[in-house]
Amino acid sequence: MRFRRSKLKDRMLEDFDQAVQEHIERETLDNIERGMSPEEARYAAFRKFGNITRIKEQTREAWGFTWLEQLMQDIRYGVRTLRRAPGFTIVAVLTLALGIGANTAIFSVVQGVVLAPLPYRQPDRLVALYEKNYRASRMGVAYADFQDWRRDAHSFQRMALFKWRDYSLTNPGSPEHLNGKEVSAGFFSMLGVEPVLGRDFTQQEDQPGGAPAAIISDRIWRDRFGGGMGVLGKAMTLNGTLYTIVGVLPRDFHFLADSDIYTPIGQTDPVIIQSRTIHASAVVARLKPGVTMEQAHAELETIQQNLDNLYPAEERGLSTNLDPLKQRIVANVRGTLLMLFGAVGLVLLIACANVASLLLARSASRTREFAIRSALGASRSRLIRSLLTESILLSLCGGILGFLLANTTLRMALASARISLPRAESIELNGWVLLFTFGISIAVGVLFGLVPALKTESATQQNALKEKGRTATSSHRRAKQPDHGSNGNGAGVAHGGRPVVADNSPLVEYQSRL
Amino acid sequence: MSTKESDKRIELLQGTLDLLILRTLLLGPAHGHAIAKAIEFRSDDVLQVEQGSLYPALHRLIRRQWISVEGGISENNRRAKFYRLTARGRRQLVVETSKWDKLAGAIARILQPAEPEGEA
Repeated sequence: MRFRRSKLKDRMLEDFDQAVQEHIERETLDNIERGMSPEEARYAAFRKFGNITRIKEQTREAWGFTWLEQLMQDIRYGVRTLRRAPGFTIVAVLTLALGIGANTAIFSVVQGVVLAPLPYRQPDRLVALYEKNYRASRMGVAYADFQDWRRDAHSFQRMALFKWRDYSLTNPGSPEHLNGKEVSAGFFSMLGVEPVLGRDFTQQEDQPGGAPAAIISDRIWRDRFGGGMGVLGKAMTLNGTLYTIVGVLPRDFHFLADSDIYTPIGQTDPVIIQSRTIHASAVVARLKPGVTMEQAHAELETIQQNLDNLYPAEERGLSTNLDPLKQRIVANVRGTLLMLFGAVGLVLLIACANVASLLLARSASRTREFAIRSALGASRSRLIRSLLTESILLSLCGGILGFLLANTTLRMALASARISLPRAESIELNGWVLLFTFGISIAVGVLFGLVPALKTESATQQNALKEKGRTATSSHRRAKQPDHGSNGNGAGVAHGGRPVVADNSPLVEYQSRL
Repeated sequence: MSTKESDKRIELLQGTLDLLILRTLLLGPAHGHAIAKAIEFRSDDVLQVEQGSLYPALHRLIRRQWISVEGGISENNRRAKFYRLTARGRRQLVVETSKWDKLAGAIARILQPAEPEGEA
């Protein structure tokens, strides 16, 4: 069906020119019969027929799909126009590339750090818990309090706690200083992270006098133990104590600053274990399904109030606080990053303004081109569309270059100085970033293209054709280009407020236009 | 373009050209120029058709399969395209005509001075 239609369409459009010519000849003959001179008759016939190019366009449109054909036409025309002005094109593309590149780079950081969900199971159910007094709204949690919370609270599926600790690894291999954490039993399963080898810590290990056990990072596993399956049960000496390895974490596991060693917090300094005044640890918990943060917080408050009453000497004036875990992780940099994002947004706006003024300056010198195109039958919307296509072409080129620019600079920045940014590992130029770059490229193209396009449109009228006629023919550069209707032989005549092409071969003229 | 002439004439309403073409072709197949002339002649030159605008309309009607096109020889022995009303176009003409009657009737009722009695 579609095939048949398109065949019919092709045949019909092929015959169009001939049909028009016959139509006009008939009308001319009629006019001669009415007593006009042949020349007059022919002229009147053309006038009565209307703008042939425009009618041909409308006839094409009757068959649909023309917008795609026109788009291809506009793109070809745009590429040619931009090629003809390499200086302008290069400056504009570079300006845009810098603006878009900066935005792409910062967006990829914002996306990776602030927007992307945390890489744990159901990350929006994870919360960070704090103790709070009149001086500080978010303090670490005392270990004894944590134990009471864990025992009494019903709003949480799991609650776990960790504390930073440094380790000196002395065996196997050469001595090395390692960052690590002491964690409570079930810390990893609370996050929904499975060790690739071995297991999480058990309750037996997570208490004073428990068997010394360690979970190691993927890096230590490979560097110190060759990445073999036999690592479980092997021993390593940390801070002078012999630990048995019970688990290996996935390579892509990250939780706050990277750690190589994890040991059970229950075996830490007994002073800490018993204390309600040393707020040395951080608590993370997973909400039960259906429990809101407010409900969980209210329950925690009640429990803490009771503790306050039970231990008046130590717990004076303590209450609690609760945040989404993501906030705990990125809160410090969120504001800065968004501000930075706003700043590069402004840079992009300035780039747009610059390119827009370049375009405006250019469009002033192209007034005649637009006048001719409109005289040849291009409608107002068509002209605007082709100008927009041109500016979007520019901005897409800028976007591609900007993306490459962002890719290189970001890679260099992240590799050279280990920027102290939480979740830096999750920054990458992924599909979202690509989509963002594409989106702002289009938006920017429309933004800086629309103003000149609209302004140009108002200057399109015949005046331009008349006034610039002399300068144009005397201009050497112009004269080299194929210029229709400029040699004053009545090829483009403004008549009755509307240009009418009254040449002997209007169709030939149309065909050589593009 | 003489102003006197154009004062007498009325621009076609959007969409009515299709109806006029279908009605004209009811009398028999015709080529483009003949259709344009027929519309002007039958309206006593009141309706002004920019003759070229006939062609987009013809193509639109062909696409909807309300008319068909065939090659032929015109009255003065020249090759020409003839447009012919199809069965589907005939049905469409009935629909369009009744639509137009309703519209024209409604507008007429609004424009007429209010009369107290009669004229259902």
